[in-house]
Amino acid sequence: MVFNQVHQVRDRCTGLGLGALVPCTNRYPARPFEAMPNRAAIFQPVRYHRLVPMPSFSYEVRNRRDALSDLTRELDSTVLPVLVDPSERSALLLIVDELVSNLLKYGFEPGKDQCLNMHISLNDDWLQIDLKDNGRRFNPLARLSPESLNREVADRQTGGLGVYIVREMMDTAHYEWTPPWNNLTLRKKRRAKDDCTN
Amino acid sequence: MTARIETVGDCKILHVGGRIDFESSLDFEQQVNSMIQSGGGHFVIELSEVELLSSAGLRVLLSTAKRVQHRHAELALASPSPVVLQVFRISHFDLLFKIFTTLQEALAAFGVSGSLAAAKAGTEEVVADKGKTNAAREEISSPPINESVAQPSRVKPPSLSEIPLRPPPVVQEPPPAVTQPSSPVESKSLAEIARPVVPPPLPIPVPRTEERASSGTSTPPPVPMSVSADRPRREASYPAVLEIRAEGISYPCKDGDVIGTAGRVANSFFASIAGLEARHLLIGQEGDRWFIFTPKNIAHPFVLDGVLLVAGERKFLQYVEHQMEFNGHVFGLRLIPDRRKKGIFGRPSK
Repeated sequence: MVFNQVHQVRDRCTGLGLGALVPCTNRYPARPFEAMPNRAAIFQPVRYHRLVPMPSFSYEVRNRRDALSDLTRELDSTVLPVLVDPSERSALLLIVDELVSNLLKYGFEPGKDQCLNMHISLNDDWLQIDLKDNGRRFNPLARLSPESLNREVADRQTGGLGVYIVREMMDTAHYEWTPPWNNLTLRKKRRAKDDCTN
Repeated sequence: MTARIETVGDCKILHVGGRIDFESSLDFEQQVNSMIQSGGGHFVIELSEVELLSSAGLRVLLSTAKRVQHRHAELALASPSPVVLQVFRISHFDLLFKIFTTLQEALAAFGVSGSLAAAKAGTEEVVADKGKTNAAREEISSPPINESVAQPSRVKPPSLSEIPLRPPPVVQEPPPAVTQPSSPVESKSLAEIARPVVPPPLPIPVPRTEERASSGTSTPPPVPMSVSADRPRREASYPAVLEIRAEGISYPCKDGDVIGTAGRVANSFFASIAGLEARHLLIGQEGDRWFIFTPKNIAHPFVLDGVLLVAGERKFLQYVEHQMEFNGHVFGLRLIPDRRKKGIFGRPSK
């Protein structure tokens, strides 16, 4: 089971070390829109397509009121300096702010020992954010767009707007409920470095 | 987040920078409130230095637009950064607000004459620095940008549809600005801390709009959002029962109730509001009359009928309907005449 072993190693790695070796499988695809490999393809020998370090970052957010500010501070010192594109930095901050504040407000129950594990990984093409929490079951992707989106000022409501913005900013999103965990994977296509001038 | 208020003629400009996220949205709201309460008929929020605008910030902008609309004033947003513009487009806020590529265009649209540099001498400044980012810190330490120069060129000229909010020409004078006392928490009982700073105001009938205009009063009370400007507000008849109306549900109140994270009244509604303190607003009764009281440690008080409450002061409720607002969440206070018969045979009248 070479496939599983490789992923166990990959999952444990949160710095710059073994992340350099990224197998071309359907879990961390080199090209996301490539056809899904069939069963035979999975058991083929792993091909390594990258030999440069790939940064990835892991964070744990506890059920505390000031958890969001701590997390933002951590992001400022770890992942944000790696991102060259200002729009990417803003998108990441926005997503984290919306989802984590939402989770702290509605997902976690007061006084309970609950947590969120966040994993951010980067490659040349994609910025991927994996969020896994054991708060209340909530699928942000199942929510419809805010109904009042086209109404005038007086009738306009803002509930659900944060989740809607997150969904619109990302290119792909996937939610899965594996009790007691909410698993949300968000991916955003990265711009070429030449385009990140502003 | 950084913020600075500038005055150019009749126009108030709020320059905002840094991150407007979940945590700094309260400061942003505070700054916007001070801009609106400083008066004027035209307001511009300049967003060129904003590096993040979350839905909490959008909520503040929306509630500001509603307040400005009820004051018959005008609000515009100027030179949004690409990031902010993207959020506006996703949330369709670009259809709600007048958005201008540069600050000069916004001022020109309001017909404000005179250059910004010339007006800088009379600038009243309010700076809020939460020291969130290095960029924000650098911005504070660096000298102010020469604002007579055109706004940053990195803002892409957007193809924006500018739909005016509602442009009635009448400009009302604002209520007097309130100060924000910030004294430590006083651990006293409600009866002790809620001593009236000023004697309780007698119910004053509000004249009709025409009468007010003809009498020439300089500072008419602000028109509450829920009540039409043409109709006088109904005076509450005491004794009365007070209830909170939020999201279509009525929550009866009693003397000593607390609104906040530690309060029990309408808890299902207030639990969803971010930024509330444990005891954010106290509800009390003196004789028959209901009052609300904001403790002195509250930095961001509620807005009652469009006017920011003053921490440490009682506010007696004199009308049947009042509108409260906090962080974009709106709820009502309603005084219903209590005509129950006293005594053991007392029954509620239909």
